[in-house]
Amino acid sequence: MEKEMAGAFLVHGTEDKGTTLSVRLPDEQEAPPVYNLMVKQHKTLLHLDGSSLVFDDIFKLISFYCASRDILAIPLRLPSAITTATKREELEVISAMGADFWMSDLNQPAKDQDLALDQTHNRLYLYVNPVTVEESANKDLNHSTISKLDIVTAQNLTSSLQNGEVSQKTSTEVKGQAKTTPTQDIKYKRPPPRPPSLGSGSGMGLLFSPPPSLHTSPPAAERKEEGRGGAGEREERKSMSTSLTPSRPPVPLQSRAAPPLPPAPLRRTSSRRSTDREVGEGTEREKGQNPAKRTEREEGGEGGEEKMGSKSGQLDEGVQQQNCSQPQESEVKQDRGKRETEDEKEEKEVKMDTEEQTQISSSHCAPPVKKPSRPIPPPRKKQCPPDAPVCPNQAGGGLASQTAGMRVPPPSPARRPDVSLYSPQGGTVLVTDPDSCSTSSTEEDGEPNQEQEQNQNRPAESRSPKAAVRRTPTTVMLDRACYRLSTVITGLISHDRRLTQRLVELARDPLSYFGNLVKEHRAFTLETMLKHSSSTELLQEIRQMMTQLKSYLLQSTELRAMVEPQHQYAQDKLESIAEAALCKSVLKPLREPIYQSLEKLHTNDGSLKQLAQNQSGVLGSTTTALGITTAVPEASAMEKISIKLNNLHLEYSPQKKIELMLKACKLIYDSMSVSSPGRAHGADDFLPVMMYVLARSNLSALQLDVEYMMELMDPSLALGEGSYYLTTTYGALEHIKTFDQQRSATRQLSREVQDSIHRWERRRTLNQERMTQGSVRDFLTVCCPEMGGSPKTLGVLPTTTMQQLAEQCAARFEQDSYMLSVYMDGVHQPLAPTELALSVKNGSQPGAYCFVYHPVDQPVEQPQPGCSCPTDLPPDPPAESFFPADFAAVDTVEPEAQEEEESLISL
Amino acid sequence: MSSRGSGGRSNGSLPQTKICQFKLVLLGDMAVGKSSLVLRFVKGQFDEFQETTIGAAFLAQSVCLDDTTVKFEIWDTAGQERYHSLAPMYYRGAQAAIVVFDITKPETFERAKAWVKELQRQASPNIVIALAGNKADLAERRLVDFEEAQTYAEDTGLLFMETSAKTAMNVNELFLAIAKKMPKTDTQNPTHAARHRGVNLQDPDAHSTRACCGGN
Repeated sequence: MEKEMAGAFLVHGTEDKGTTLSVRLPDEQEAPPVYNLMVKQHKTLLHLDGSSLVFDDIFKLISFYCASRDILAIPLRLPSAITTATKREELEVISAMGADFWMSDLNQPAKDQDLALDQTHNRLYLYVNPVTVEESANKDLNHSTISKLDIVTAQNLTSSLQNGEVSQKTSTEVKGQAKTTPTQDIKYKRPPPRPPSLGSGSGMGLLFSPPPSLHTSPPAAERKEEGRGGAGEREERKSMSTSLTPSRPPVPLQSRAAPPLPPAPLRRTSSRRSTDREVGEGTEREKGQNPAKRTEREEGGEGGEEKMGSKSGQLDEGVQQQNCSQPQESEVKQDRGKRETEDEKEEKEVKMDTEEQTQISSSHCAPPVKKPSRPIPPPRKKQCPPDAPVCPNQAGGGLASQTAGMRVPPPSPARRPDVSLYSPQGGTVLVTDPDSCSTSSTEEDGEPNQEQEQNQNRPAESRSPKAAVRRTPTTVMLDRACYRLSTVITGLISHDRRLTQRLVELARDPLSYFGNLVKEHRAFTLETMLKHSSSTELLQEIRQMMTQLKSYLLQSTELRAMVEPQHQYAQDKLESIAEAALCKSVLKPLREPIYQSLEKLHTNDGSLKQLAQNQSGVLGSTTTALGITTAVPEASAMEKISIKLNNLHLEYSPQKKIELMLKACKLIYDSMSVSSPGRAHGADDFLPVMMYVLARSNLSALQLDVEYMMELMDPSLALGEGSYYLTTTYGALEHIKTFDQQRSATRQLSREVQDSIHRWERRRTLNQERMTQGSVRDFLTVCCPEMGGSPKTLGVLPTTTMQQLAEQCAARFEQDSYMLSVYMDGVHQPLAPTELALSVKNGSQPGAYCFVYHPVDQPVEQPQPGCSCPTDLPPDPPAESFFPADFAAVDTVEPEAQEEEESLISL
Repeated sequence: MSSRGSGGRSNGSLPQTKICQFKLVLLGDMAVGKSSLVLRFVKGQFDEFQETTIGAAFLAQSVCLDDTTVKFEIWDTAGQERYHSLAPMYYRGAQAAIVVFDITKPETFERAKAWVKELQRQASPNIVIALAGNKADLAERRLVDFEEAQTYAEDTGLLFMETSAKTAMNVNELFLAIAKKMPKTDTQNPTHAARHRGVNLQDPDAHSTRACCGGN
């Protein structure tokens, strides 16, 4: 600590003493350079010893104290590595380093990062264990535990890597082991420190978090390794895992289920904490995260600060926002009253989660939880056993998520974290975060909350952490009473949320096939974005990409595996979940670049300028000239409307945008009725008032928004009313663009504009058809033994010929002197260059073919192990759930066979 | 997925019933009673077939017709001349249109004829057009002859009725007549539609109704 700069801090905890915040004080001070302060816990709230400010969790606490010192000598300061990180990846790296991070180069600027991470871990615990908080994210612990974790990780990895059913089995076993063996060991030692990565939580790490601590940790370890290792390492792991697996007999499910084994007595005492922790770790984390996330959602607007709470990644954001938040401290206090309300809700939710977990677990768990009086959710382990067999492990992410899935109860733990983590654009996410809607409670209160946020927060742009609210005992009591009610509802909705979250995590998992696809698609989009000459083209490209990804996802075994067996979804539900997940993993990161490109395009074509020029013209028109016969929105109504529109602009999900647009329209209707209550207003009345409102809005933003909504909207989603008002908004904008002030009327709109909506609808229909046909684009995996490394997946159209595929290979492998061959049952299959690649894929027997890209003079005898051709995969398990197994085969091949086939191809 | 997009029989909430969904656009001069007409129609129906919308410019209503449920998505347009140029955005892709005029205002009839002409020229070729002489309750102030309008309608191949949003005269009849004329081929079962299109029926914010599915 002493080496750190003033303001550096560490959150650490010991079992006996609870959590402590250590702050490096400025050197001038004579006092010891490090100031230690207890973090006290009151019920579920945390506060610094001596301070009256309470927080939901350590994240919020930290984020607040980054902005405001309160009783501290100086505000906390986040490590610069964290504050300067701009991408999720960076944070992931940091988090993945865990304790090692301190010593790393990255750390140089600020070792605190680790601390932050540690905090994360701790914080989680804090939340969960209302009783004694034991934060032991100490480095020492980390190290000690890590080795074990690594093992587990390796195992998990293996399974995840293979992704096959077989691997699943293995993984299951592994899990069992992981749960039992390592856990136990660890128990006695201490609460397992959070896996390093979890804290900063790459989305992935979070994913893993749901499972008991051990589980969680593996991913983390994985991450770590990945960062350093790479493909080669994977292989190692594989072997490792394989060997490991056999050596350790799978623990019987039951044993797993039963929490801690023999050392029951220990448990009760000191060990109990640890046990609880271990057991509940996943849960705890979730909880910890949950609150954070929740907060995030509710406060949405602020984004930054709250997010800080949940992750290091967020911390980052928080820091960035620090500046803004500080001045607002006072504001915070003022807002307390209001906030309290919010807080209540929040708390409620949090509790709900907790309870939900508890309930679920209890209901699910056959064996009663050992923990006596603790409301702490029972270890999810129990649930695992039954489910475990069901869930195939997939990619790393998949695995984790699945695991999470298995433990049915806890509301997607993973997702919360991930949100926070993943929001590089945090600011934009805000209220609109898709997740926010999924929470039942959120939904119920959604409107008011949003309103509040919008009204209060949005304008301010930043805010002090909501956490800084003071809670009275009364509110706490109320919360309690309420949360029981909401629990039920939450339970229903949480399934969807969880699934969405898992998908998002899968999409973020670079190790998973799907994650890789998403990543590449995204990169490709970014690359080509500037090359488009029209905004429609640009957006359509993106929409098609999303549709393709969705199409893949919906047919994938990955998705199927994620669906909790006891909770089957209708196809439409799955589709909407997939869409939401894709929005989050694709559009959220792309929103900013998309807007920039759109702006550029429209600046170049002069439409923004035209719009701005004519806006003043419309603004100058009298209401009569506009055709208005009703009341127009008063200033306060205008304010509300513009908040909606502003939120609309910040939102990344087209659907959420449309919802906000409808809300804005509703506000317009409301204000029109002021003069004539009860009268229903048709288009004669509405359109003119809309023009009036638009003339007073940020037209250039809206122009981009409308396009964004129109083109990126899920084509399979019927808009109905949304379509009508989109049309109206679009029309009004076009009208303004061509507004002729002399005549107070519009010159004839161009034919093109007049037809635009129709063309738009056609595009949507086409998109939908494509989606329906599932023939959007298929994927083929080609391996290239000579190039080493992993096989590449290439997108192919139904019309792609072998010749074209070979060209793609040349580009993809960056080697154009090779040739592409297809092997059927290990026998080279001569093919004409004009042969359709997909017909090869679809025409052959499952498991029979393999695309190999190889030197011309060096024909591959047979796709052999060594090349990552899946041939070397265990035969029985349909190893590659990842791969577009089902994909290619829109034809109905039974999954197993197909998967195997796929594995051959894809690996 | 292969089942997507297939039309068909519903097996959802309205078993045995074929459901067709259409986009219907309302055209006509300002203040001829376009939205009153539709509101009368919508309000007169059973609530269960009604979808809540944020305002009266867009309404959705289903009517039962023998073994078929016809669902209308009704798109109102602003009648002001200055917004005329926006109309194509609304009527393109519509399967039905009601052109409304006020029998007490001859100029609205002329305008209606212009709309009809424009529709026949620019809208979908198969669009079903109905002409409605509204405010029939004000017959004593009538300035547009019934016969004149009817003749015009017959000549142009339109459905024609005189209606009164105030007394509800011929309102349901008009919509039913349109429903009967709609091709029932490109129907879509709403449950299917919902499923296919991922409409989130639970979403209170969306108020979304299923868009027209065919005919574009």
